[in-house]
Amino acid sequence: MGLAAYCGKRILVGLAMILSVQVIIFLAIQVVPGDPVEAMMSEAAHVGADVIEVMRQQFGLDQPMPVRLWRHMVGLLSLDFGTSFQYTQPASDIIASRLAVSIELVLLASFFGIAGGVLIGSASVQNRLGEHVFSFFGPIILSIPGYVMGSILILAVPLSLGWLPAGGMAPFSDPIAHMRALILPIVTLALPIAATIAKVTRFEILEVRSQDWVRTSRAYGFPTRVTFRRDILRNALTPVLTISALELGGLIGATVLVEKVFNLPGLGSLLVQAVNMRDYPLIQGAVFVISTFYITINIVADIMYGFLDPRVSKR
Amino acid sequence: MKRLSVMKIHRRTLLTGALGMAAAMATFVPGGAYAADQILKFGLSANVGNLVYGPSRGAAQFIVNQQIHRGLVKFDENGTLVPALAESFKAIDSSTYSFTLREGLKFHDGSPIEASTVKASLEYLADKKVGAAIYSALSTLESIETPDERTLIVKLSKPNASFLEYMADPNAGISPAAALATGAANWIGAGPFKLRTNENGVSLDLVKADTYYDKDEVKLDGVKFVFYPDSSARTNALLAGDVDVIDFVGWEDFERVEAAGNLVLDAVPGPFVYTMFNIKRAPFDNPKVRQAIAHAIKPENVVAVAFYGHGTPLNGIPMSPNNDRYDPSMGKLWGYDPAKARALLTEAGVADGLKIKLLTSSTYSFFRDMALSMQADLKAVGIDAELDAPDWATYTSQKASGGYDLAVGGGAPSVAGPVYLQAYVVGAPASSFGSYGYDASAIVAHIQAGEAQSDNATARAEYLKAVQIVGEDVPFLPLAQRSQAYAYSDRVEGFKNVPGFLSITGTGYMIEKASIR
Repeated sequence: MGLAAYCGKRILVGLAMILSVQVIIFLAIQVVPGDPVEAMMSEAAHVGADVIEVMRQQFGLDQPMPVRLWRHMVGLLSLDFGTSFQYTQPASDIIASRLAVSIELVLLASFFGIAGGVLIGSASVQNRLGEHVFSFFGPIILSIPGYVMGSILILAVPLSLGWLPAGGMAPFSDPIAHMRALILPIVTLALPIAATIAKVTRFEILEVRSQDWVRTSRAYGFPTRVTFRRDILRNALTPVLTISALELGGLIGATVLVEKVFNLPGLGSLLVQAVNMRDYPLIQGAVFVISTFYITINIVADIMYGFLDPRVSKR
Repeated sequence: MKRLSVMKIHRRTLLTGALGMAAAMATFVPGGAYAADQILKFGLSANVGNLVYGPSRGAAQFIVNQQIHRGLVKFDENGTLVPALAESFKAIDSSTYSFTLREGLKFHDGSPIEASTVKASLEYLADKKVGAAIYSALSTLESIETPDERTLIVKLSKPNASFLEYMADPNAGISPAAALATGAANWIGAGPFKLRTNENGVSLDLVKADTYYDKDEVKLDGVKFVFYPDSSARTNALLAGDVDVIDFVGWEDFERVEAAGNLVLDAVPGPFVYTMFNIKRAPFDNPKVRQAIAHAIKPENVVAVAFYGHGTPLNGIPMSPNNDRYDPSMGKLWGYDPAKARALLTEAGVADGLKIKLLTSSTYSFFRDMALSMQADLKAVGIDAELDAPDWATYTSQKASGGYDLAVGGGAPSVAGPVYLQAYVVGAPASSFGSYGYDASAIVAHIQAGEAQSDNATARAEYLKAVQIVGEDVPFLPLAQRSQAYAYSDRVEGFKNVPGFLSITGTGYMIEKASIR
């Protein structure tokens, strides 16, 4: 099978998965108890059953489920998820603004986490101090949950030292405030990624270093740096790539606790709130974006193996 | 290996540099330079989406509504009704009101507000399809006459002594014609501030509106609402000086705020929590069993467990003593007395091994904690309560369909007069706040009779008859009034938490009185 056919197959399977997720979520969220209008009106003053019925009609909830599912799938073609019940805005607009925050957070955290992890992992193989630092801090960082780490950082930095905001987001139009708001959440998210990646990198380097092609390369008299970069690191990075893709894909909807601690308007907290209020359009839209992101990252990772290791696409 | 170590130093230098830069950014970028500009930074407890006209979307949206919009009347810092868009108002009789608008009223976009504008707004809210928060008050709207551009005569088909209070509700601002449609955005109003920018899900930037009728009294140049849905994140933002004011301080954070020397914790007895009964099922179809519960549960425990001690235990109907129609006996209906509870259970024939389902929600910790405290008290009188704590949407759906024996509930009435009781005594499904299947016609008749009276003493006598039935029949069981707190920097002046139920619906009106020292 050629590389193109391999990519084509992966993409088709991915599309089928995205659509299946939409149908499953649609059915699941409507089967569980809870009514969006009742949930929303529970905050309102005295509202009788008659008003609730009128609002159900407005939201199209009086239609039979197959009709609603069909409408949803048709809307999906134009990325139209409908109007959010609680926010009375198009769900796609709300998701777009939340997605920007999540993507920025996830990409920056992944970048610093993965780059930092590879550097620390490599360093821990190459010198004693690195090894000690790694073996001491690695397990500690991995064992602290993100929301605890976030709370500790808030206590230490904004509340005790008075540096950086204690949470919240600033618009892109104010880039300095924007970056200041992101520093602590990124550190919180990047630390465990760095620890995981460092661990995998270290393990793989130790593994690859003992291979015979490394010995051959050294025997040819190539400089250590060249051997390390060309023969050790490149081979060691394939599993690191897998882990990175999984970390990155999983992160997009899973930053919810860190979003909560730092009061960031990301996709994770939006989804949790939407589920609580049974805001169907918002749930479908957020799940669509998260599943598409996750599946795409995995397809990209699969295709990249094809490049890094041509044997994969031939299988 | 030597070359490698050189590379490593470079990396380390880079890292150190990056950290240094981050630290430098943190240290040298000044924060809180707004004070001189009189911009109040307000940490708000929920995201506010699009403002739409009519329906209630919770307390955070009330506060924003009160800055953008303005109704005919509003509340002052004591919860008294004062003129707003109407420069004067009077009750012609118990079901007819007249309003005279101020001269030259304008919306933020400069378009005029005349009697016909107000008429269109109120008629829109009186349409059941809108699902307006004040629909119950306007459902009896008979006619609105506009004899001239500045005069309105509102006629109701039934007397409603609280009609004017409803007109001060945060969801009763007068809105332009473009906002009077389902889902239409409603950002142009007649309030003290107008929208400058809306950072979706993050913040709202409001600036002082030069069209506001009372603009000379407004000292702030603007208000920046920043959304902090998480309670401890909100408190942290205040402690760190990121914001000047926060609403809805979490009870667990009261001490943290009080310990900070430069902050004010402004707490008042606010909304209340209560218990509902499923009247359609044994054993709570029997008033004796409901009375037994009223004596079995210790409100002090609810306050201690659910509100960290920050609340007021209730043994009757919660009501502000400032209200003209208040009577102290309304608050003395029951009392903690487990022996009496056991006797009542014996009398009802359910003294042994009564097992019930207690519905609460895991979404709000005080709901869950309140149920836990009740569970212990019920156990002490021999009732085995099994907790059912689903998420909020499941809870509301079970409540509406009677999927419970006992259920906990929360109430934040929008009016302070005794008429508010009606929403809580009328049973579900007719009222989403009431006990499932309760027939409240006897109580409602007395409340309505009270509402028809213009004389407070005569009205009070009718309300007391209604309250007496509540005491005997226990259609719902109020347990505690929770402490509702705002917290703010001591540089903020003129802002104040309005006491009682109006903490939720009236305090938003105080922002226009605030200034920053």
